[in-house]
Amino acid sequence: MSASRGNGANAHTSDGPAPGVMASVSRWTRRSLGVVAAIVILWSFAHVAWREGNRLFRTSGAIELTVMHWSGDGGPAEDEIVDRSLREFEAAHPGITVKRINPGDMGSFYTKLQTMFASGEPPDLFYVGAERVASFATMGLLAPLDEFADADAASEDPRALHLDRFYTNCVEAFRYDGTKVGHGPLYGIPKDFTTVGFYYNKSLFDAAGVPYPKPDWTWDDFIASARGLKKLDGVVGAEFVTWPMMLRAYLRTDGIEARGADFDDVRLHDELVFAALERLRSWRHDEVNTLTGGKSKLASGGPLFTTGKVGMAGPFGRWVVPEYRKITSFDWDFAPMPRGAARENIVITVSWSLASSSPHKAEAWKLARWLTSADIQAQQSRLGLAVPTIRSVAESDAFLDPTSMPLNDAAFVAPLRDPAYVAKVIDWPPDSTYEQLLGSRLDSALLTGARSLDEAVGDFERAWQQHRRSPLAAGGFAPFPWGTTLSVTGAIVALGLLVAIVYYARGPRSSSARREERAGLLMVSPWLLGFAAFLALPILTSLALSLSAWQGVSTLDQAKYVGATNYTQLLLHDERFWRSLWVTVYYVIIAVPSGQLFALLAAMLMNAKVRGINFYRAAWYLPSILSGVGVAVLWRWVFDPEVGLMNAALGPLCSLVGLTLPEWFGKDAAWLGPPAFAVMTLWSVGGSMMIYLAGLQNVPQDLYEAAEIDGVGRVRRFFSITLPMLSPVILFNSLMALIAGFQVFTQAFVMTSGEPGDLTRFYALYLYNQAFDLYAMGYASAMAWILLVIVLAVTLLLMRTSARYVYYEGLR
Amino acid sequence: MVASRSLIGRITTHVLLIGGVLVMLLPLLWMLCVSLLTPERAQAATVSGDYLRLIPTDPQFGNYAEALAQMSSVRWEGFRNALANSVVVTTSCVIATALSSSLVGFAFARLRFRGRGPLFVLMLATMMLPAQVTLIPLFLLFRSLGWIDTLLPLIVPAFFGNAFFIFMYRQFIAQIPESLIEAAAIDGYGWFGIWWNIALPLCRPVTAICAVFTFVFVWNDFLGPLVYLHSDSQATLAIALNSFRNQYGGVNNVHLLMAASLVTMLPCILLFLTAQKQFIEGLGKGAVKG
Repeated sequence: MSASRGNGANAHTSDGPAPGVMASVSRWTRRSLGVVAAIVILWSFAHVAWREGNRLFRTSGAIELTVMHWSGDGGPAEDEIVDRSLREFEAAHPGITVKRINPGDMGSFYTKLQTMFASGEPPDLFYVGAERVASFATMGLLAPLDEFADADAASEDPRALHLDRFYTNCVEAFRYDGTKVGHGPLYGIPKDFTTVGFYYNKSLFDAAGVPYPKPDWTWDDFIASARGLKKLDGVVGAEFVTWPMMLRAYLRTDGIEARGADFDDVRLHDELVFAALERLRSWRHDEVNTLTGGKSKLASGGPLFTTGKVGMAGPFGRWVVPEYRKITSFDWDFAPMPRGAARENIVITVSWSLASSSPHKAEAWKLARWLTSADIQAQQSRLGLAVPTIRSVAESDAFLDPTSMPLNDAAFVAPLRDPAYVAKVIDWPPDSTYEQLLGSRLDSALLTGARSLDEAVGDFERAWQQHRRSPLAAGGFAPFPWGTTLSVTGAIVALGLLVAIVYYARGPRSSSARREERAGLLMVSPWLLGFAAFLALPILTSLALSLSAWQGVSTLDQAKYVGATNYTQLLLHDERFWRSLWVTVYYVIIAVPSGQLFALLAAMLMNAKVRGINFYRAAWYLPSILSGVGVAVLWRWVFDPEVGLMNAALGPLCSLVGLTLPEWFGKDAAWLGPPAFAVMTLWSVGGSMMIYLAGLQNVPQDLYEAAEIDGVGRVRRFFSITLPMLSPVILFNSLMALIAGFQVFTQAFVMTSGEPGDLTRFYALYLYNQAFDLYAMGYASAMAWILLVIVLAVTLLLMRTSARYVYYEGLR
Repeated sequence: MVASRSLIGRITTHVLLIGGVLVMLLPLLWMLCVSLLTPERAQAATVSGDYLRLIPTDPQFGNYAEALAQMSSVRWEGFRNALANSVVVTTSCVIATALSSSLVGFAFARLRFRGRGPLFVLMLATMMLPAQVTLIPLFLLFRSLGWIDTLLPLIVPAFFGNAFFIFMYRQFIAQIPESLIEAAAIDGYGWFGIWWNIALPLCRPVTAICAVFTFVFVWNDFLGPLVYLHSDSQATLAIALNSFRNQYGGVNNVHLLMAASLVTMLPCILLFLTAQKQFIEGLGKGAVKG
C-alpha cells in the first residue's frame, strides 16, 4: 500500500536522487557491458556463419556412420575414450567416417533415441541396456546379428569377433525370441557388465569393531553388521536402495521371484516373497538408523556413501567406482551380495546394437566389434566403470588391477566364474509399465513407509491388472487410415480457405473500414501462418494420434486405429490418470491465488520510492530467471526433512504445537507434496511481479492526486483506483499462472520424478512418462487433449466471469 | 508517498525489502558457496550442510574454468561452440519475437476486422497446449524441411509471434488513449506507421519485458535443442551443460554443476541488471505522456 503513489509519470526523477559520480559509474558500466555484449554477438554470428558455411560446402564420398551413446557415471572420461576409439577406427578404415552423438545421461539418451527412430533416421549403432532388449526387439528396431557373428567366428581376421570369448551370461542377455530372453536371435554385443553387491566403509567397520564381510556372508551377517555400525555416533548402518531391479536381485538371493510363469502372474503375496519384503521394510522402519531413513531424495543412492556417514551402501554395480575412487577420507571395499536360501546374483549389461533400418550394417558391425574389442574393453575397464565382457580381459590385470580400488575386484566376476553361483540377467516384460509400477508402489511401503506393505502390494496388483486388462494391451487393431485422414483434412482446409476468401471479399463497407480490415488481417498474418504451420498442423496430427495406438519409436505408418479407446481407458480405468489430475488441481488451487497475491504485494513494495530500489527489484526478480538442475538440487536440500532449511525454520514452531516435522516428499507427500511445489513457485514470483509493477506504473497519477485532494484514504485509494486500473493485468497474470500451473513439469521431473508412489506425479509428468518412457504416443496425445479441454474450460470460465470486474481504458 | 514520509513506514519498507532480498538471494549464495568447494566438501555440503560459509575457506576458483572446459571432449571447444549457438539463437529470437508479437498485438487491440474476437480466443487457447503434444509432430515437420541438426527450428518459429507476448502487447496497447491514435492518423500515418511510430515506442516497457523473458526462456530452453540438435557443434549452452551432468540427482559433481550453472545464468543476470533501467524509464513515461 505504501507504494500506491508510485513514481509514475515523472520519469526523470524515478531513479531517485543518484549522485553524479554513481550515475556516471553505472553509465560507464552499462556502456562497457553493452560493448562486450555487442562484440560477443558479432563474434557468435560470425562463428556460426563460418561453421555452417563450411558444413554446407564440405562434401565427401565417405560412408558416414552415426553412433550414439551416453556417458553415465563415467562422465567425460568415458566420453573421451569413445571419441578416441572412433578416431582410431576412422584411421584404420579409410572411407568410413563416424559421427558421434552423446546426449548426456541415460534418460536423455533414450528420449533422443526415440525421436530419431520416430523420424526414421536412427543412429546406426547405439547403446541398449539388456532390460530394454525385449521391448526394442518386439518393436523391430534392432538388427539381428547372428549372420555377422557366425561369419566372424569362422574368420581368420584378427579383428573378427568371437562370441565364445565373451561371458555367456552377458551374450544371452541380448538374445530374445519374442517371449523369452536368453534364446533366439542376437540383438547386441555386450560392451560391459556388472554384478551387484554392497560397498562398505572399512574405516567405520574398524572403528565399530565389526568384522569385514566374508565372501559368503548372509543377510543375517549383513543386518548384524549394520546394527553394529550404527552404534557409532552419527553413523547409519546401511543405505539399501529399493529400485525394482535391486528388489528383484534381493529376492533372487532367496531363490524367489516377484512373478510366476509370466508377468501377469503376480506373486508378491506369496509367503516367502512377502516375508522377504516385510523383513526389508522392518529393517528400515521398525529400527532406528539401521538403514537410512528413505526420507529425502537428496541423500540417497550412490553419493550417500561418499559422505562417510553410512557403513554400507548397495546393492550397486560397478558404476559407482569412478566416483568412489575419489574418496580420500576413508578406506573402502566391495562385498558380494549377501546370500539367502540361494546363492544368486544378477547381471546388468549394456550392448552396442545396430538399427534394423541402418543402410550400412556391415560397416556398423565392424565398428561394433572394434568398440567391444579386448583392447578398448581394457581401456574402459581401467576407468573403473564396468566389468569387461571378454573373459580374458576381465580376468587380467586390466580389470583385477591390485593397485586401484576396490581391492575385491574378483567379487564382481566370481558369480560368473564360480559354478556354485547362479548369475542371471533379470528379464523385464516389453511393457515397461511393469517396472515403473513395481518401483513406485512398493516404495510407498519400503522407502517412505507411508503405506503398509500389504496395501502397497495390493496397489501394485490392482494397477498392473487394470493396465493389462485394457483393450489397448490386447491389440488387434486395424492400421491407422492416414490416406483418408490426409485427404479429408486437406478437403476441409481447402473448403475453409475458400469460405474465408469469399467471406472477406464480400461486404460493401466503407473504404476506410475495408483498409482497416485489410491492415488488420495483414498484421495478424505472421501469427496466423505460424499458427497454421507450428501449431494447427501438429495439433491435428496429435488429435489423429490420440485416436491411435502408436509406439513412438516406430514410424508413423505403424500406428493402429483404436477409436476412442485411449479416452475410455484413461477416464474409466486409469487411476494414475486421476491421481495425476488431482495432484495438479491441488497444486493449482494453492499456487495460483497465493502466487498472484504475493506477486502483487511484492510489486507494490517494489514501487516504493526508496534509495537502492533498483537493487531490490533486481534481487527479487533474480530467482525467476534461474532454472535447471542446479535449482532442483537446491530445493531438494531446502525440503530435506533432516538437514533442510525449511524444517530448520519450522522446527521451533512444530515443537511448540507438538507436531513432528513434516516429510515433504516422504510419507506426508500426499498432502504436503504439491504445496511444497507451490512454495517453490513463490520463490520465482519475479516475472509476475515485474508485470504488476509495470501495470502499477501505468496507472495515471492524476487519479491518485485527485483522490488525495478529495481526502480519500490509502486503503480506499487502493480498492477504488489501483485494483480496478490493474484488473486487466491481474486477469492476464492469473490466466498465465493458471495455464502454467496445469503444465508444471520440470520441477517435478527433476526433483521427485513423481515419487513417492505417484503422489507428486503431475499431469504433464505423467503425460511425458507415457510418451517418452512407455512410448505410448497415442495414449499421451489423448491425455494432452483432455488437458487442453480442461484448461480451455477453466480459462473461458475465468474470462466470462471477469468481464464484470475488468476495466479496459482504450479497448474498442 | 505517505509511507515514505513517516519514519516507521520507511523502516518497515526497508526491513521488508531487505528481508525479501535475503530470502531470494540465499539459494543463489548457496550455489555460489558450493561452486567454490572441493568435490568432497561439495558433496558433504549438499548432504549435511557442512562447509557452507559465506566466505569460503580455501575457495576453488579453478572449478569455473574446469566446468566450462569439460563441456566437450575437446577442452573449451564445446564451450566456444555452445556460447556462439546460444547467443545466435537467443538474439534472433528476442528481436523476432518482439517485432512480430507487437505487430500482431497491435492489430488485436486497435484494428477492427471481422473474425478478430474468435481469432483472439483461438490464440489464447494455443497457450494452453502442453509443449509435449506438438513435440513429435513438429520434429516430423522440421525433418521434412531438412532442418534437423541446424539452429533453424529454434529460431524460425519466433518470427511468427508468441501468443503470450501478443496477449501482453494487446493488453498494453489497449490502454493507449484513443486520442493518440486519432492524432497520428490525422498526421497522415497509416496503420503500420502508427504501429511503428506510436505503439512500439510507447510499448518500451512491454518490449523490455518481452526481451528479458524471451532471452531467459530461449537461453534456458532444454527440450527443444535436445530434440532438434544432434551434433556436439550445434549444441546450445543448456545442452552442453547437460553433457557433464551425470544424473538428474547431479550430486556427483555438484560443485562443477553449480559453477557451470552460475556461468550460464550470468548473462541473464547481467541483462536484467542493465535492462531494468529501461523497464523503469519506459514504465515511467507510460501511455499518458501525449
